[in-house]
Order: sequence, then C-alpha cells, then structure tokens
Amino acid sequence: MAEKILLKNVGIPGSERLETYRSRGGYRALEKALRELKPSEVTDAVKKSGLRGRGGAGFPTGLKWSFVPKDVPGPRYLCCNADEGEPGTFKDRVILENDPHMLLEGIAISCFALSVVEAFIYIRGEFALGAERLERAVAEAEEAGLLGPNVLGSDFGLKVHVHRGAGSYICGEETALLESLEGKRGLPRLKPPFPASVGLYGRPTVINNVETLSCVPSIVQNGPEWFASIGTKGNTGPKLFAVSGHVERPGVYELPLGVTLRELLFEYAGGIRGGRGLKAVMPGGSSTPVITAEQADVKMDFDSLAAVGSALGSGAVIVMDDATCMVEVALGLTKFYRHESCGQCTPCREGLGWMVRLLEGIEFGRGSTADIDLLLEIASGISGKTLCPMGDAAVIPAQSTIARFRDEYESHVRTGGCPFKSAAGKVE
Amino acid sequence: MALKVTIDNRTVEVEPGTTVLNAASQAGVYIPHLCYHRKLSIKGSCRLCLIEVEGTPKLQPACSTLVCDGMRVKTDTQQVKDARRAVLELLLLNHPLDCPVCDAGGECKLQDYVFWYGRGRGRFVFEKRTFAREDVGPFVSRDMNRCIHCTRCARFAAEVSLAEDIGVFERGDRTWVGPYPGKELRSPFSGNVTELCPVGALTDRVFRFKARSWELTDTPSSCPLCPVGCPTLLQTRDGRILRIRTREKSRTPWICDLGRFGFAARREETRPTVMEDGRQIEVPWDVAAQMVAGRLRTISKESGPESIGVVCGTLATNEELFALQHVFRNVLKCGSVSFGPRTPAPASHEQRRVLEDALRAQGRAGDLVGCDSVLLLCADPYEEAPVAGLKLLQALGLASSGAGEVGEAVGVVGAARDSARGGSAVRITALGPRRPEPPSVQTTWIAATPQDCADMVKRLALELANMCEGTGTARTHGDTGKAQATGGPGTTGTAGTLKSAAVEGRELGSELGFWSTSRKLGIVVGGELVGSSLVYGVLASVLRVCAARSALGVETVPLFLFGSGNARGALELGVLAGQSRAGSGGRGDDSGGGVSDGAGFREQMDAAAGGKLRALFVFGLDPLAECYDRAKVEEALKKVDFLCVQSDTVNETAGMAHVYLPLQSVFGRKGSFVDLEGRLTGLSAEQSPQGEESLLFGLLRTVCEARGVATELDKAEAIFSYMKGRYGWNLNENLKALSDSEGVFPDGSDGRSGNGQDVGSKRVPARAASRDARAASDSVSWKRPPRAWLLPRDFEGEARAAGRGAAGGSAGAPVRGAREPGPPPQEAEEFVLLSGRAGVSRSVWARDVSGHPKIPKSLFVEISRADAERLEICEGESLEVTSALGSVRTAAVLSESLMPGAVFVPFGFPGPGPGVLAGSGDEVTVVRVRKVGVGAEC
Repeated sequence: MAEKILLKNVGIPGSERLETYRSRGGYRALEKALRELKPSEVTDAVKKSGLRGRGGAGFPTGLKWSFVPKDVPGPRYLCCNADEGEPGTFKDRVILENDPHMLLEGIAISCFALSVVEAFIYIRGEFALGAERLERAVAEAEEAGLLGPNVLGSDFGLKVHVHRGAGSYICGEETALLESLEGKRGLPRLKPPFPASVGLYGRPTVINNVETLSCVPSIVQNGPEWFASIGTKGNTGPKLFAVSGHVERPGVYELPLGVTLRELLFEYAGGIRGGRGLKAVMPGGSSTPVITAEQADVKMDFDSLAAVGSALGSGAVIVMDDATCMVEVALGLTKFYRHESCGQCTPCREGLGWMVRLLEGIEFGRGSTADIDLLLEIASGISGKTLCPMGDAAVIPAQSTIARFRDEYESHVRTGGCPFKSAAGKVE
Repeated sequence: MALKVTIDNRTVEVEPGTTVLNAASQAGVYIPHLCYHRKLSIKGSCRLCLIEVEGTPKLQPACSTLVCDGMRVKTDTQQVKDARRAVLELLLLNHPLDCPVCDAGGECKLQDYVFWYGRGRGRFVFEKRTFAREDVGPFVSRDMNRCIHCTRCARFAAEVSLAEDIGVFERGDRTWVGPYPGKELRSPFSGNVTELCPVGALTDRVFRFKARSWELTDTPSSCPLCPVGCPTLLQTRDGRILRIRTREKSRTPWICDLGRFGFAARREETRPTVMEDGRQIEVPWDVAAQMVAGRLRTISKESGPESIGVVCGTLATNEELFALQHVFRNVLKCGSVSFGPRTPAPASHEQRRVLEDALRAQGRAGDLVGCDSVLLLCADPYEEAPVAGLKLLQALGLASSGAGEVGEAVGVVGAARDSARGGSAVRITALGPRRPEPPSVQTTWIAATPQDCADMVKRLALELANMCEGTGTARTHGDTGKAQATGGPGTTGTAGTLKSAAVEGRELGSELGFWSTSRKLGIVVGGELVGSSLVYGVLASVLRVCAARSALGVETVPLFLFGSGNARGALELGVLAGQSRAGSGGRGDDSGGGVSDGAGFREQMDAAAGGKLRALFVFGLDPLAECYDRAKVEEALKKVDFLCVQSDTVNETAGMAHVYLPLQSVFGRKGSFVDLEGRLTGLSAEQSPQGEESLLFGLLRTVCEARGVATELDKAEAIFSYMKGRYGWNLNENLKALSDSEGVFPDGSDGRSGNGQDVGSKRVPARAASRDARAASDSVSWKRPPRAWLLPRDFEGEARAAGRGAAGGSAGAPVRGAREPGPPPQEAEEFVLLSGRAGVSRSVWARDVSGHPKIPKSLFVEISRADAERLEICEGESLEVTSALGSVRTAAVLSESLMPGAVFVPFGFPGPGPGVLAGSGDEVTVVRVRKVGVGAEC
C-alpha cells in the first residue's frame, strides 16, 4: 500500500487530540503558509497540485477558489461540507472522528488563502462523535492560538463554527447547506448566482468537502509537485475509497487516484464475500451509474470512470455480488431518494414516488414491460429538468440498472416475481 | 444598453437584467409558468418554464435565466414540449381531476396549461395522496389535494405580508403547505393568497361556489372602506359584486381583507319608514321625503336655521358631502354640519390652520424611502390602514415590493432584507398603547397612552426648538412649554393606574435625542389619535418637529392616518364644523356669509339636550354606536323634535328616527373619494334597484324644491364636474374615467409618475390655494415647513392647564371616574380605557362576512395577556367593565400586543359600547374590570 497521507494518523491512540497531531508534524503547514507564503501563493499551489473536489463533482479546487471576487468589500465565508450523506460514503467520517485537526489545519490554510476570517463546518447530524471531537478540536486549537483572533501570533484571525445538520440528505447539496446554515429550510437555491459570488448570507462563499480541505496541508507542506506526482495526470493526489457491500473487508482505503477497481476490491478489500462472483459496482456512491464485472479493470479516477459512463463521485464503492437483484437495488435506492427529495421542484418531488411504485410493481411481480419503458421515460422527465443535481442523481439507480440489466427486469415481469427469491425466501 | 435576444425567431431589445420569461412576453411569446409571479421573488421550482438556450445543453428555466446579448432562445422545440408535458403529467399525478366542482375551474393555470401543453391521458394508475380540506383562516379555505407546491403563498407570507402565517412543511412528496402550528391566516392581507394561488388549493371562502369566473364582469373601482383608497376590480354578475380583486399592474399590488371581503358585509334597506305612535310605519319614498322637507322648513321657520343640525358619516362620497353642505348651508342657511361623532371640530382659527397645514405637509408612504428612523405615534398602520402600512414597510425595504423583477429575485432572496430585519437599517419606534403589527418587524415599543404620546411628541418638539438656532421667541416659548411638559405625564402617569414607566424611563431620553438628529425621520400619526381631541396638539407638535428638523437640516416625513373612509375628503371639502366653508358656495351664492360655521357633534348634542337644536339629519352612520358619552347622546336624540336618519341599515339610531330613509351601500353609490395621500379616487357602483345615484340627492332635491329652490346638483356626475370648476381641479376625467384610473391628484397628475417618491413636489389640494392667499407662496412645496412652525401654539398648553385645574392634582390629563375614596371591591382592578376602531380582522364587518370562531361576534374587551393571567381571566370569559358613567358586560379577548394597565373596548358594535363608559374623548377614563359568572376553562 502506498504512503498514507490522509489516514496517516488514523489508528494512533488519541489521534483526535491536538498534542498527538502536533507531535506528528501537524500545523507545520499552517505555520509555513502564514510565515512564508502570500495568500495568492497558497491558491497557486492548490491550483498547481491539480486537487479536484472530493465531494462528488471533481471540480478543480484552485479554480473554484479563484471564482471568489477579490474586490468585494465586506465579509466572505468558507464552508466545510461535512454533511456526508451519500449512501455508501463514510470516508469523511474517518477524518472527522480520527483526525479533526488535519481538517482544521486545512480550513485555516484555505481561509488564509481566501482572506476569510469566519468559517463554518456543516456536519451531518448523525455524526455525534465527529461533532463532539470536532468541537473539542476547535477549542483546543483556539486555546493553542492556532485558531482565533491571531493565528500563530500573526495578524490573520479565524473563527470556526461547527454546525450540526438535522438529518437531511439534500443539505449536502452546497446551496441547500447554505440555506440550512442560515436557519432556513434546506432547499437548494437557483444557480446562478453561484455561492462564490452570492453565498452564505448573500456573501461570497467557498464550499469544500472535508477530504478536499484535508488535502491542503500536505500540498502546502510538501509542495504541489509532490501532490501532483501521486495518481494519474489530471487526477492527482490520494483518495479515500469507502468500500462497502459484498466484500470480505469493507472499509476506508487510501490509495492514489487511478488504482484499478479490481486492485481495490481484490487486493485491498479482500475480494467478494463468500467467494461469490462480482456482479456490479457503484463506483462512487448511489448517485453514480452501476458498472458491471466486465468493467472491473477501470481506473478509479474522475476521467476513467466518466469514460465508461459512470463517475468517481465521492469514492464510495458499493459492491454487489451475483446473488443481488438489481431491481431491488434500484427500488431501495429510489425509495431513499424519494424520501430525501426536498420537494420544492416538481419532477423530483412527484416523479420519484411514481418510479418507486412502478419498481415495487416489477419487483413484486405486478409489473409489465411497458412499465420498464415508462420508468425510463419518467427518469428522462426528471433528469436534467430539476433545480439541483439531485434529480439527475435520483434516477441513476433505476436508469443505469435498466440500461445494464434490462434482462433482469424482464425476467421479473415474465416470471411474475423476483427470481432471486426462492420459495424459502431470499437467496443467501 | 439594450440587449438583443431572439426568441423563436423574434428579436427584441431588452434592458439588462431582464429574464427570458419577460423578454419572451415582450416578444409576444408566451411561456407557461406556475411558481413565477411577477410580484414575488423568483423560485424557479415548478420547472414548467424550461426553454432551450442555444449553446446550453440543458434546458433552462425562463423565469430565472437572465438575457444576455445575442442570446437565442427556443420555446417550441420537441425537447421543450416534452419537458412541459412531463412536468404537467407529474403535477397531475396527485392533483384531483375535480375541475367541474373546483372553485378555481375556469381560472386555473394548471387547467389551462394541461389543456394547451399536456398529454391527453394520464398514465398514473396508483392511489393519489389525499388530505382533508380545511379552513385555514376566516376568509381562506385550503384544499391541499390540489396544491402544486408553487409556494407563492408561503413566499407572500415571508416576503410581502411578513405575517409568516403560512409556510411549507415536510419534504419530498409529503410536502404540504399550511399555517404554522397554532397560527391561522389572520393577517390583514390573508385574502391575497387566494388570488396568488394558481390552482384551487387556496380559495376565497366568501366567493366559494357563488359563481364561475367566466360569468363575472370586471369593473375598475376604488376601495371606499379605509382612507388608503386602493384601486380595485369589482367582479360582478348581474350587476352585483361577488368578488373584489386587485387590478392588474396596479400601484397597490396587494389589497387588504377589508377591501377584498368587506363588501360582503354590506346591507341594503329599501323601505322608508315614518314613526307613528312610537311605531315605524312603512311609507312610499315621496311621502317620507316630503315629510322631511316639510319638517325642516317648519322647524327652521319656527326656531331659525341654527336649530337644524346635520351629522355625516365617514363613508359619504365627495359628491354627497358637497351636496349635503351646499343644501344645508346655502339653502337652509344652517351651518351645523358635522362629520362623524368623534371627529373634533376645530375650535379656533389657529386649530383650523393646524389642520390645513397638516394636510399640506402630509407625506406619502412611499416618501419614507431612505428613512433611518420611524416614529409611530399611536399608530399601527398595518392594522388600521393595511395597505399604507405595507407600503411603509416596503419603502423602508423591510417588505418586498415585488417590483424588482430580477434585482433581488434571481438566486438569493433578500440577504439585505434579512440584515435590515436584524435591525440595522432602520430604527422603528412605536409609541402607543399597542405594539404594532406584524411582530416579525423589529420595533422598539414604548407603551404609552394616547395622552402620553401627545405629551412626548410635544416634548420632542420643544427639545428640537431649543436645539434650533431659532428665534429668541422660540426659546422663551419653549422653556415655558418644557416646564409644562415635564410637569405633565412625565412624572405622573395617570391616576396611578397607568404603568407608563416608559414615559419616565431613561430610554425615552435617548430616543428623544435620536429623533432629533436622525438623518431622515418618518412620523406616522395613528387614526385614533387624529380622531381624538388630542389631534390639534399632536398635529401642531408634529409640524413643529418637521419645521425644527428642517431648520436643523434633516428631513422629516409626516404621515397622518386620517380616520376612516372619506375622512380626508371631508376635511378637504370643509365639512367639519368650524372649518371655513370652503366648499359651501353654490351658484355664486356666497351670501351665506351670515351663516355660522355651526357646531361639531358634541356641541350639537349639547344644543339638542338644551332644546336649542330641534332637528337632526343623520346621514350614513349610527351615532349611538360610534359616540362617546352614549347616555347623553341618547337623551339628546330622544329630545330633538325631528330626527331623520338616512343610512344603508336600520341601525340603532335609525330605530329612533321619526323618518328613516334608505340608502344604497357605499358599493351601490357612484362618486369619488379623496384618499390619504390626496388623490381623487372614483367609485363604481354595483347595480341595485335604487339606481347608482345616491338616494341622498333625491332627498335634497325634495328639500330644495320645498324651499322653492331649483337645484341641478342631483347627479354625482354633475356635482363632480361642478366641483372640478369650483375647486379648480385640473382634470379631464369624469367620474367614470376616474374610476377607471388609479386615482388622480387634483392638479391632474396620476400619481403613478411619482409613485410616492417625489418628496419634493407634494400635491396640494387646490382648496388650500384658493381659500388662503397666505398659502399661495408655499403651496407648491412643503419640504421645508415655514419657520413659523418653530413656535409653540397657544392652544397646546391650554387644554393641559385646564385639565390640571380640573383634576386638582398632578395628573397629566383630567380623570373622569377616578375611584371614590374607600377600598374598591376586591375583585375589581383599575385600568385605563382605550377605545377606537378594532383592527381590520376584528371589526364588525368581519363578523358579518365570516363565521370564524376567532372573530368576535359581539362587543369585546381586550386585555393584555399579562393582566389577564394575573387576574386569572380566560379568553372569552365574561367581564364587567365599569366606569363612573356606566358599565358594559363583554367577553374578554386576550391580547399579546396591548399594553398592560389598559383595556380596549372597540366602537362599532351595536348596543352599549365604549360610549357608555367614556364621557368624552378628552379625558382619561378609568374603568374597573370584574369577572362575572363562571369563567371558561383557562
């Protein structure tokens, strides 16, 4: 396994404490940034490193930072998106619970680069331990002068707030996150304007994922060239892969971008559980289209996965063995999206419920072939038509399973039930 | 710089900041939309307006996409058609197909769009989600099944009305829209959501099931029910009003519930009666009218014209006011025409001038743009003149004006507003017995009785006068006045019962300083203060504040909420007794110089009780329900030899009348009003068997004929055109055109051009110029009041001094009904009595329109929750309110907004009201409140 960067402290007793983090070289990057670099140099380093957002969209982080207007008077904000809610994703949680200071250091450096003096961490409500540790870390850092009015004795000051969400998936969408942070219903906003110009409380705002910000200290410490040397061209740096599903050793694995799916599954995650065959993988969380076993040699990076019609997403690898019913997979996930739809725009609010009922019909033997086509038609009426990207994501499970496993749907319709369920119940 | 955009091959040039939706409408291309509403912020959530923009792969929402130069838009491609069809199909999934029984059928956007752009058949075969139908307020009913989640209503409540009464709950397809827990749609603007709702989810309970939209005829008119005079649209069937709505693109995009639903409370009596042996017998109109003419002639002959009096109600049109005073003053030579039973007549030339100058200084709500401070003096504009209140909030940037098509709309709504509501932009201070609505607007409330308010504004005037580098006179006068003022309520409160701590508190000291120096100050004087005997002192003080601040180089906008209905019209036309008879001349007949200006209502009652006033003509009101000192008025009315009442209902006073004559409701009489800001507004009449000409004109013709005088002034149109000439109004409009317009200023401007923001060119009623040469020089602009106003007015101190003498103590105002020596009954507690009109949704009209349980069915007494809890009084419990004069039994209404130490008893309900308790409006009345009977469960 390659050198650990993001998980280097995980597993060390007391890794969440300031003294542990400092004893292992923590906050030196912040010190370096404050003492040796100008804010613009930090931004340039991040740009040069090729760091791409780890939240799902893979947008170049340095470029995102440069969208913040320089000449607007008044406050600007940085929000750390720690609302990790995508099914299958649990990578940020590892950082939040085990190495909160790495995140805080990343936030501090980023704020320095962006001339931000107030930052917010919006943490998923269910992450009770993470929130507790994060809050303690903020207190420790303030105590130690690493946050607060004069960071490390400089004239750069930073206040970090930890805000716990209330359990809504959509609040992971950046503008819904802002609304929620402002105390309103977590509904995505219309874009444009983008948060970089009109964000939190109407001010220019940068929103980055936990893992993205956690990459910043090592970029500053070791230089952008070092960071860019990890991974493949255009897909640089280490990545946390949260492997779940039918594998022997599910968990979070840190590997350079560009590792193949096969390597990840069979060398690190211990192969398919119970020696079964691999059937399908959602390589980047439930919002990414499934790929099949034949595609297992694909490189796990943004561009390679896009090339095979899927996406790296959040790096949540959901593995399904050959006993998995794909209709049931689609049904389960569509139900999830239906439940989490914010309800503000028509296609997502109304369409998903209809899809769930059609999928239920097929799974339980009441469906028809026409229903399969209707599902696709509804999906295309939702995809690309909604106010936020959730509509696109929500139809992907049904759309992609029909695209790749249509025969399975048809056999449901033909046999009047789920072929993966024997009379005795579900196949093991 | 104009941008060129091509929409479906039609090219238009539009301003930067225009959305594709609006550009398309300029190009004549219609794009369907549901959540977008031009008066609200942009949400972009219905996804029906998706269009294709060349070069953009995804469809874009037309409502929120800004046009850029050279943009090419397509709205008729297959992709767009498919998207529309998909969205409409999805909207119909859970929408009941009950159009034939839906109240919105025929005016439902969804219905139209599905017909135009939708699929022929639905493919959804599952069960629909259902909710129970529910009344969500007195006037609004909700059928959640039909809701399409456009959130127009919720945006209205959050951004415009600020009532925050209706919101969105749950999420996903479980989302529903409704009132917040424990709330109902009770704001004065609740009815607007029925107009906003694009489907039949929120329907108008008054109009429900009455008619189909295509049966309605639209007639532009103006609302007569409050002095704001909003332009309205009467929707009639067979000539009868069934619904009132806002006009398209009106200067008042929202109307209040009174204006929208108040018409439904109208009553129309058609049968004249005469009193015979104590019974009222029905007679033909001519008999009754001849009798009135005959009796008036006889009494005038026997006891002189001064033995005849006229009391006129607030809903009289300009034409009626003019004809009434013309006939009584010039033909009958009787001067005692008074307006409303509680409007104090000016007692001196000085007071008359105050009134005139106040009219001249009157600002408009829109003038408050840019104010850094606002002082509300016994004013709750949002409740008493709702649309003026809303405009005020809009001018201050607190409520969305909805005008900014895109300015605030695209994306984040109202970050600026949020910060303003956080309290940084404008400082609003309310001085009065009631915390102003809505509570969501941050206001510093200093609880004070009207008397205290009058004193405080006077103190402010004095402080300012002292600050001015004014004349020495100002200073000397100021010192005297200051002594009076500080010796007044500042140290006492009233009768020891009033917990008016604020008056003494340090906070007022700093507030006074702030109001003296703030850059732009708005002063809003409430209607009840304007209608009380404190009016002249308050008007004078406010004018002095304006003058002094102007001398100090800071701006002030005074806004007087003149009473109700056509109160300003009555002032302008000189109906108020004691006012110089500016409008009295008719046909060159100004020989009435010998006719006295006559008496106000109270003097009339005194005269009647003394036998000097023998005949009284009451037009369009119920003095018994509206007066102070009811016992005395009742006695006086009994005493007059001839009481004639003409009104739209047989009210209590009419029940005593020797002759009762019917009258159309104010919605059935053609005419004009003068609104708060000085505009002439036109009223269209609905059809009634009595015709659209006021029945007053017929009566007056008979009266004139009996005198052998011919009058041509018996048609509203004729009187209007006569008044145009008489007052030099620079108008082309006749009454009909006036109704079609949104109101015009007498100088000919339409009021739209300025839109309330042209502070510099205040419209001046022509009357002022024609009547007083003094005014001519400064009649054009009153931005800087004359320095004369730096001086205190003589009468300002008089009443106070007199009062102190009478009360024999240090009380700031005379106290009637102060408790007798000896211990009071244990369960009784003393309160200061406040009386006046109840807010819009608690007034009498609402009771007649809606059977909602929270609307008081009869007289009520409002008591602060704090006092109620202390005395263990529950909502609805029966209370006895007793003053030295009398007592009433009423149900308690617990209030969050009323000051502790005071109770409020509203006027307007039939039967004994505050008039039984209060001797006159001049004094502080102290009442005792006692629980009677077994109370309701707390």
